[in-house]
Amino acid sequence: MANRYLFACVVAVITAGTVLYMIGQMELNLAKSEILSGYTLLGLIVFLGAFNLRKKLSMLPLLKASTWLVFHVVGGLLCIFLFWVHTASVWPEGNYEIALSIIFYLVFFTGIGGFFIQKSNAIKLTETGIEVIYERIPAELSEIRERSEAIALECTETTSSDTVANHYIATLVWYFKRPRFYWPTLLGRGNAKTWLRNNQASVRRYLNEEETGYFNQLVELAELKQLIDEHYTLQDINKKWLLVHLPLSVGLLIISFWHLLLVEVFAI
Amino acid sequence: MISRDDKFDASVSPYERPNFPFKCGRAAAWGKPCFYGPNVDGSCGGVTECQPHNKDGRWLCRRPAAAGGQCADGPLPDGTCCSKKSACQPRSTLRRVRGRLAIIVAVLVLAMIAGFSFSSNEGNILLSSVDAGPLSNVHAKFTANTGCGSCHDAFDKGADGWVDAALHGNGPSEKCSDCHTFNGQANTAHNMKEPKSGTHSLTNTNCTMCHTEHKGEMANITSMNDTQCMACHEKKFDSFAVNHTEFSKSYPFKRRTAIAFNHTSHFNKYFVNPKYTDKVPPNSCIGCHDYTKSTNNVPIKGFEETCSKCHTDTIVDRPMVLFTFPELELNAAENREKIKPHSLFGEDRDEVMERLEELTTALSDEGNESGASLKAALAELATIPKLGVRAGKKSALQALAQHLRNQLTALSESAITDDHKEALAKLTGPAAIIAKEAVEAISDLNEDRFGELSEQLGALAELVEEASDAIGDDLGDNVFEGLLNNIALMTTQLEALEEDEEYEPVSSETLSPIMAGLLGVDDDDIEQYKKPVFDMVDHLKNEGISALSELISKNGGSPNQMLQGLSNELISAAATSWSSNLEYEAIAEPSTSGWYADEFSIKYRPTTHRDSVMKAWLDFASNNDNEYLQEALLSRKEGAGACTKCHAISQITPAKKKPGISAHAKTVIEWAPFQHPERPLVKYEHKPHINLLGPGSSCTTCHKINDKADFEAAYKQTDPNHFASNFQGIEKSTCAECHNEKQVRQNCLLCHAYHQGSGIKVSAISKMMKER
Repeated sequence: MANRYLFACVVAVITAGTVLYMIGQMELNLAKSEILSGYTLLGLIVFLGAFNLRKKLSMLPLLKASTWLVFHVVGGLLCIFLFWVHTASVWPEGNYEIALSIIFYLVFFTGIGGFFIQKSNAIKLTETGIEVIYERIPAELSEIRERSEAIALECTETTSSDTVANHYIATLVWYFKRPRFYWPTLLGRGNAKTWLRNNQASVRRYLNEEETGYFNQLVELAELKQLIDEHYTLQDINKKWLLVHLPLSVGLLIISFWHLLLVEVFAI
Repeated sequence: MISRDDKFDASVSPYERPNFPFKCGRAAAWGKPCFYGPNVDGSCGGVTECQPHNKDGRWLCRRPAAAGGQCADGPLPDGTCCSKKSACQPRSTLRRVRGRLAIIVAVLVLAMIAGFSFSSNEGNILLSSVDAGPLSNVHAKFTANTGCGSCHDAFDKGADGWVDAALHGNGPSEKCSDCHTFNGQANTAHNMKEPKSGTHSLTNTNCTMCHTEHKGEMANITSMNDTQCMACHEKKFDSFAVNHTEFSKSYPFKRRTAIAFNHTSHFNKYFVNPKYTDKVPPNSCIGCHDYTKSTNNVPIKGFEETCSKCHTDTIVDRPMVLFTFPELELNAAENREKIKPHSLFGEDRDEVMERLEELTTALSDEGNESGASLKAALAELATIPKLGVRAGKKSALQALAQHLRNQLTALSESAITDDHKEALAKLTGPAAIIAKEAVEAISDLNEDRFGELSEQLGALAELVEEASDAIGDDLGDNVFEGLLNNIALMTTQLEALEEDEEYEPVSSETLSPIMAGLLGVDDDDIEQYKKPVFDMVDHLKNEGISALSELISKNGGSPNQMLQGLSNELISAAATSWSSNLEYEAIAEPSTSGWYADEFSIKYRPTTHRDSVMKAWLDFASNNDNEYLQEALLSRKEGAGACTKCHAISQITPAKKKPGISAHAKTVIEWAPFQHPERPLVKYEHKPHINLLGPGSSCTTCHKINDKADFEAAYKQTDPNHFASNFQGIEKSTCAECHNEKQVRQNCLLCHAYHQGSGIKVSAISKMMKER
């Protein structure tokens, strides 16, 4: 992956250098260098957008998606550079150009943000020690819920004590019902573990040995569920940033073509 | 399941389809998802756990192993699954939500573009999807009311216009010329009208190459860097101080100055002469140059503040001689009616002759002895000298007439009474003397012409003497008869003289060069100019100033300006005198300036510097090829008004209005002190340099007098480009002392302008003012 990034960066630098050189030559000849930078930028934006198309056309041998991602990321960085070259400023003046810039910057920063989210979350997901498919999380939670319920019932039946069952009903049912502690997990805080630890500590002293055996099974499931919750949170955010990035990208493409139309009609 | 090693095995876990648009409704509510998940159409796919298979007439359960395998109860008899659940409400997957969001954003963007694009025709709408940004302040004011259409033709031409513009190009450069003007072509490099020498074609440009709008109200849309200059220019250099081309030897002068002011002679000769000490302008250079108004040049303060102390007299001492009545020989019969040729009695000739005839008749009358008719005739005769007899012979004729009157009086009275005879005797002596004097006087006038008359009068004198000797008894018929004969002879002689008398010009002048030029004649050829001059004098006498106006107009002049202040009365009076072959005697002394006439001339004396009449005459002469006019008016040494002593006369080739059409050189008098058309792409501001270095004394830092230059020679010819400046050329190193990399900026546009004579059309400004 590192080699691919290096390669993509080299390609980007060469592209940027070539464009800059050509722009310089055009300016020397008093030609409209904005045409070159603009069309290059538009082509790059279309290329970046094609990444989404590539994912839809997975049957075609169009390189690996991860390779596309590398070029998508580096291309995005090149894009912002060309944008500044093209506009000769960080912030343009015209109304629709401002709108275009707002969308452009939103797309860029959501892209950058998404990239870093995915990169950092991947590490965190690995650190959980488990693997779970995002779409299967409800099923996993359901299974954990069923097993925990079965353990609580068995404990009651076997030990004739309802301590574990009461504890289960009072606290763990809520916990097992759905993923919990979304935002603390997202923010990297250990609320979930603390909650589990506290609840475990509060009930464990009332349990006899046999009940403790069952309770330990419940705790084990709860801890597994906490890991799944962490997976859910991280994978969820891995997917949901695209809810911003991709629709804005579509908007950027549209307004870019509008800009192209205006330029072709009025300025060239 | 998650803890199983084979959790991804197909027999253990279902196949997840994240690309599907729907997900299980139960899973979405964190319940247990069904094995199959929702259908593609969004309906629940988990109502049954399997779809039984009919094999050999028997329904078999097909629940997959991952979902628990075949159920114990098996399918119902009708082939349906025995395990049915209520349908869930599948939910959209993130992918589908994302797709919908993308559509919403796209629609929103399109709606915003559409909503704000076609309602901004006025150009001053705050939100517009076609607004590429605020115009610079200057352009914003001009286009405030007309909006985008001011520059963009396609703006209000609808979809067709947009398509056409997109396909064929519709840059705004074409519209720039609606307001902007240049001294040259708008769409060529540096507004050149024709290729520079050594090149084959003009470089086409357009305004938007350098001037890009919509960069904000305060945007600098005229910036240009040195590298851009170097892109086109063949002679490339790193910086001004390092390897910019050296200035020309005479820089910054490419031509002589319009005013022939010799700095060398004035500074080294006149200003140091004690004789002129009180007239020397103070403070050296800034005594004459007004540094407070300095721009590209440092203007001269003006004639009155600088040159007038010494040079005003020179102007008024050189009057312009418009017309001189020349010496003419009048033999041509056709001119007799125009100028009376030396008539004895002028216009009263006929009357004189008539009275002489009456006198003869009276003396012949038999009743004359009574003396009555004779007295009457003598009384008539006495009036003769009072008539319009020409000057020169007036006194002689007066003497003659008096003599005759005296003689006749004596004779007539003596013929009547003795007393009268006695009285006549007393008068005889002096009468004889007078008669002789009269004869001598007439004879002195012209021996040849008046010889016969002298003889007759001599005879008359003898008769008078005889009469005086024979006074008494013999006075009678013979004397009277002789007297009558002689009077008759004299009359005849006068008539003959009137007919044959030769014209004697009163003027000894020559025709003025200006009139020779206007009439198109040679001022040395009397035969050539005699008739035109006679005609002119006649016209002047009868028509006055209009005769001159017509002549000037015919020569391409402007009579209203050139004859301003000249009166009809002056012209007519002078011409009347000259037509009678008389000197013109002015009623009063001529004024010190303006038009006046003396004995034989009409002249104009300039009032002072900037005399409009003199300027008109000199401009007329400069536009006229006639050498007489040019010599009389444009000569540095003798020209009227001495204007060309200082104002250079130059052959100027006007700028070509159209490429390929040659322009003819034109002789002009350089009235304005500065001429700067030669370096339209060079700019220089004196003011900051003067402010920095100090006024007056610092001028010589750059402008060093060149003592050896032959400055005056340049003004003896008309080519302004052939000159020797009073000053040494400014060297590049002088500028580079400050303008270098370490001190003052040295970019191209600091000293060079890209455009030639850029300006704004008056119509554009008027339009904007009206719209306001």
